Amino acid sequence: MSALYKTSALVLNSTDYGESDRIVNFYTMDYGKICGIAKGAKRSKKRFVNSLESFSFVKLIFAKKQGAGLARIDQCELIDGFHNIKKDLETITAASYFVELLSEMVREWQRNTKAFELILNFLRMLDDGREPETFSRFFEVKLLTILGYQPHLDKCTVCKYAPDADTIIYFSSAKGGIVCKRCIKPNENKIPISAGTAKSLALAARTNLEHLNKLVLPPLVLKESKELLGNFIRYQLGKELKSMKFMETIG
Amino acid sequence: MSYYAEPIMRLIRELSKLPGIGEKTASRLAIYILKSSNGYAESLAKSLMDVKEKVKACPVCFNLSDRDVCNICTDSGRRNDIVCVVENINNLAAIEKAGGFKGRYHVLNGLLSPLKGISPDDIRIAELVRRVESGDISEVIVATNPNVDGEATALYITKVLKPFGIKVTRIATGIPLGSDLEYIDAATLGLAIEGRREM
Ligand SMILES: [Zn+2]
Ligand SMILES: [Zn+2]
Repeated sequence: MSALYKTSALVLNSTDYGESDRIVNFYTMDYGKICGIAKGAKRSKKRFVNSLESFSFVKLIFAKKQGAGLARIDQCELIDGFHNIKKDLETITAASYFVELLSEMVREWQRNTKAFELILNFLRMLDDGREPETFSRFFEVKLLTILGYQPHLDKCTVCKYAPDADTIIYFSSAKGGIVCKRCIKPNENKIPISAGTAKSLALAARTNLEHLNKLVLPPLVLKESKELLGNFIRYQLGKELKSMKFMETIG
Repeated sequence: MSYYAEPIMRLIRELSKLPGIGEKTASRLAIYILKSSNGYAESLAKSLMDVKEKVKACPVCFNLSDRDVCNICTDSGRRNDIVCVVENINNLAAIEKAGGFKGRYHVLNGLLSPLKGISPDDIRIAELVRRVESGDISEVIVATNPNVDGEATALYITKVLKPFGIKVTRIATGIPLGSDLEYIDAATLGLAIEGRREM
């Protein structure tokens, strides 16, 4: 017996499969990440065209047999294609990074409405013209927080004291947060950052999405944030993301 | 399946590796070949070897060719100053079938893809830039599929060709988003090339 599911979803990615089908990964509002097959999608002009592309926000109906295996995609209707994202290479790359990061950090069939709303809102913000690099950092801290991997940025993870402003402190991915000058060990894997960077990121993690655009990250904070969050995410996932590498090749 | 003699089995196995060929079709084809004349089997075998040995990528446009430079690149009836960039030879063939386009081509080796990690070095972008650099090209038409990777590729090509001050155009929409040029009818594809817009 196979059950029928109806939900809204975001297309994470899709690839051609065989002569005429496509395999599609969705992040659904009600069932988390699911992987399905859209039969005949490559040739059919009407049924799926337009709705199986990455970053599409869709209404989805799919069937799934019990046990392992792919879902069968019955209907996929476009709600919003976020077409502005596709007009700029930097924005496409940022959106790709969002969906890849989310996809790597969640498991199939684990519902998380907060994560769903987060990525939907961030794609919407990119579509509205928000600056891709800054909003990539905001997306990282917000997503890590929602999924329970929030880095500790307010207090030293060892002595628990808040670092003085305008000092150099360290970020340790292994400790999951900042370490002050007094507590850092000489042979520890660490990234030197300014206390202001930790503060800005902690603030971003607490700020509501509708106020995020008021938060401006100065160039140094942006540079340090990229390094420390990138390092932390690589440490958590144990690998480099393809869209991240891509970002470097297009310069 | 063991009721077939081993050489037949081997042929069936090889044939069923072909796209769209199941075991049943493979068996039918194998039996057909077995029953056909020696001449046919020899000619089939020779054709198979020839495509592998004689067909190479054209050093100018990367179309497949059995000569050094392909016949599109050497055709004196085509314009030298317009180059149409396509994802693969299937899309080149689709545009040729649509007719109307009388310039040259540049066949990429796929599309840029942030999600698949396919970067400019993987798809002969540098070769395209070199052609523009050294030749008298006045327009590059980007005829990649209207999907995310196709758009990313078009945007990147526009960016790297900007310093040369030539016209970079993109085939018109009207082709449904997310579709493949290979499956678009010739008339629609012809119109899309005709109605290309500047990037
Ligand atoms: Zn400390
Ligand atoms: Zn050629």
